[in-house]
Amino acid sequence: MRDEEKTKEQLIKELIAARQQIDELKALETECKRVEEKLRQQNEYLTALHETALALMNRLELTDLLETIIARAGGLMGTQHGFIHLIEPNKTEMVAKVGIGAWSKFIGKRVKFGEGMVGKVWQTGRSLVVDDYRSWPDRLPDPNFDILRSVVGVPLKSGPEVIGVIGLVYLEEGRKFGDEATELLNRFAQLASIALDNARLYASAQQELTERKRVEVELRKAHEVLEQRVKERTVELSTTNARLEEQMVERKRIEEKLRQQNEYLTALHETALALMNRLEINDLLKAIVVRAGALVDTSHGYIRLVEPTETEMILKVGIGVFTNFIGHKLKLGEGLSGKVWQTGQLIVVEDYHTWPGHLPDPKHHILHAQVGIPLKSDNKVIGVLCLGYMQEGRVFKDEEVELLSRFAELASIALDNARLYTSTQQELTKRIKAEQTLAHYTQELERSNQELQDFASIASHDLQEPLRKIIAFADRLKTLYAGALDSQGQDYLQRMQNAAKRMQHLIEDLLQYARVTSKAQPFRPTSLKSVLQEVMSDLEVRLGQCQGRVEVGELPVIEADALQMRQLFQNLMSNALKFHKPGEAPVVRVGSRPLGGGYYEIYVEDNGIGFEQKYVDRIFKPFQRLQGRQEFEGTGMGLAICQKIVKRHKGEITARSVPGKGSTFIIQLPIQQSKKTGEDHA
Amino acid sequence: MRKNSKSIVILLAEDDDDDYLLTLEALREALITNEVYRVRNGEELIDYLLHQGPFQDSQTSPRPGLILLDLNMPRKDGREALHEIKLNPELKKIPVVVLTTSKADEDIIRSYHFGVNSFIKKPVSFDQLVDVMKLLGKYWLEIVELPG
Repeated sequence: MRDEEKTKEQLIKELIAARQQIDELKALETECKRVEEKLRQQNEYLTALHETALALMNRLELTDLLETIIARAGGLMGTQHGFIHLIEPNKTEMVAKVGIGAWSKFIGKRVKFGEGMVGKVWQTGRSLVVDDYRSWPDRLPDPNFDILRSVVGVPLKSGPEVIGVIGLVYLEEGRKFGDEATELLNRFAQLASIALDNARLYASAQQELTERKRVEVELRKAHEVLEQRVKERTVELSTTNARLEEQMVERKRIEEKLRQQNEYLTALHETALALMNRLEINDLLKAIVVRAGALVDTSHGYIRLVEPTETEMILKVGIGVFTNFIGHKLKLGEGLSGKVWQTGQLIVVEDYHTWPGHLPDPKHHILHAQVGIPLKSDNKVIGVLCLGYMQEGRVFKDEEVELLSRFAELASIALDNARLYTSTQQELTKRIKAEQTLAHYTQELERSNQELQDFASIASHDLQEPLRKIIAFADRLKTLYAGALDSQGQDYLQRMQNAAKRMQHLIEDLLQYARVTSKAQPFRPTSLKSVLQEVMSDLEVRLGQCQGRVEVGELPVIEADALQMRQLFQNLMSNALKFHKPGEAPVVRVGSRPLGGGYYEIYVEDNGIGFEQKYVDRIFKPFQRLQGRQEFEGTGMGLAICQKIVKRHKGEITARSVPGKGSTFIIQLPIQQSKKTGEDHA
Repeated sequence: MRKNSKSIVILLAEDDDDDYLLTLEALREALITNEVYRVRNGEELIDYLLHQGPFQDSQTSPRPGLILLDLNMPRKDGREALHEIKLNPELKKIPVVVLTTSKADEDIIRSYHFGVNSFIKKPVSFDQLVDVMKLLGKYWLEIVELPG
């Protein structure tokens, strides 16, 4: 009998441990799914950002571009209402240049520095989110704006200077711009700013070109007139003519320069477009160096990236003579790249051989003119792009440096995006793998738990069979042959019967414990008050016997398994009556209070013998008893069943007690059960 | 054409010798003196009812007026046998009382679905078993009218 009991106890412990492990794994799984969902969303955002960037870079006509920007921004944020304000050349006002949705009627609206949300973004140069415009203290008094709910504004910048503001609006009550959405919008505004900057440059270059052409035509006309005069008049005018021709040459030179700038810009655009498409980092780095080289007509260059430790930078890709240096490391401040890293500034070296900062090893002294440009992310140097010429005397022209610096800005963004994309991808792959492993383990555990559960219920069922017979034949023996036994024989028989009855209770409780999950009913709205009424009428006889009293306070209606709630209260109430102080009538108080967060706290308080608080964890474990069987009968399963029921309802149960003063059992239960939990156990 | 209640034959389908003994003793204790015949599994039960195999002689294997059926038996269990009995137009008239240790809901539901006449969970103590037998005897052998 001892051994059997032991095995059972072992079985139950394993069962509980397995159940707990499953619960933990399930929680982990849920967490994993949440992270994966977030990553997936981030990934979608990034893809949207890329597509948007590509679409923007193609537009050079300003109004066209602004309209695209606001439409795309609205698309990203899921709203049809928004606007772009640009700062007027006089720098005292901003004007709404484009507006969509509710904003289309506000095009042309003017706002001063620091005024309203737009003015604030201009003033601070930072994005601003207003959750509810109506209650925002700095709102504009215009009643037209009363329809606004959540508003977000992000700055458009050219370098450090604010040139405009993108604003987006939700008109729906309660909808808000979250941190992630604002971050995405900021990133988008960064890209839009560059596109806008390029479009402006392009427009002004175009304008200048047209202007030059007009002047040239005029000049030519003047020239022709003069020539006529020259013909008519005398040689003295030929000096003037010569001067004019000189001027013409100068004009042509400027025009040529402008044309070149224009070509540069076009090349820049094409390059940017090519870069934005690449998401694989090494691929992208290679493309950056090759494209940059092509822009300034060299085939020698490299990119170094700062290592995650931030103590060194490594040459990741090299072309031309730098192919041999791939993997070469530099510390902060060392050589040209180290200096660029240290200062965060672009450095142009006319001749590396005579440059004081050059690396001592002569193997680095191959190129003459070099330029090192920082690649940045969030204003932090993440790498250096370097290009150089092998021919002595070939130096970097100002416009080439300017072009490279612009190019590096775009390359930085492309690199940033690619890095984000890669890390997101990696994380995603990792998560998916981890999740698969987890799912596998969960399945395994669930299977073994099911086996244990089946085993427990079958075993205890089969155990009942022989036990029933022991009891029945003992009954027969007692009824028919009690007279043939002496008092010792009768005592043995009595003890055997008692032990058999106790084993029967143990098995019944064990089955009940297993049935908390195997025979669970779906969760339904359940009035705990009526559950308690039923329990009290069941206990009526016992209450009368011990002259006990029950004071019932407010009890809520919650989603629960009514049968199990009844079992829970039955066990707690009968404990409260059972462990009463000798010579004192038991008083049990039951009540509840809302906890917030969708939970209720329910207490069952008695004035019984109580227990020492240090045993609080032990009392909820199967077969644990604090009192001897002689004083109080029971199997020690009651509270274990209570705990299992409460856990199945996603709640908690604990107890507070002082020996001799009584105990209070405290149960926290959710008002609503999630759909999934119901299905899990149904 | 009411038969004398004493002449009604009880057929006990029970594989377990101990349970057979206890049931028999309980019947005696309940002062039910009707003849009791025993089969040990579902196959034997059907054979008995259809007078097949060793049960061809209707003198030694008389048709029962009441079947007490255990559900958990080897070979063909009580559930299958019950189903067959209640599908057979001749045998379905014999009242069948399930007497089992199982109180699984699905067993109760299924038994009634097949057409069982009563479902009784075997009580734990012998005294209670005697009480059940008394009531069973009173009801099935004295009160109700059965077809001939």
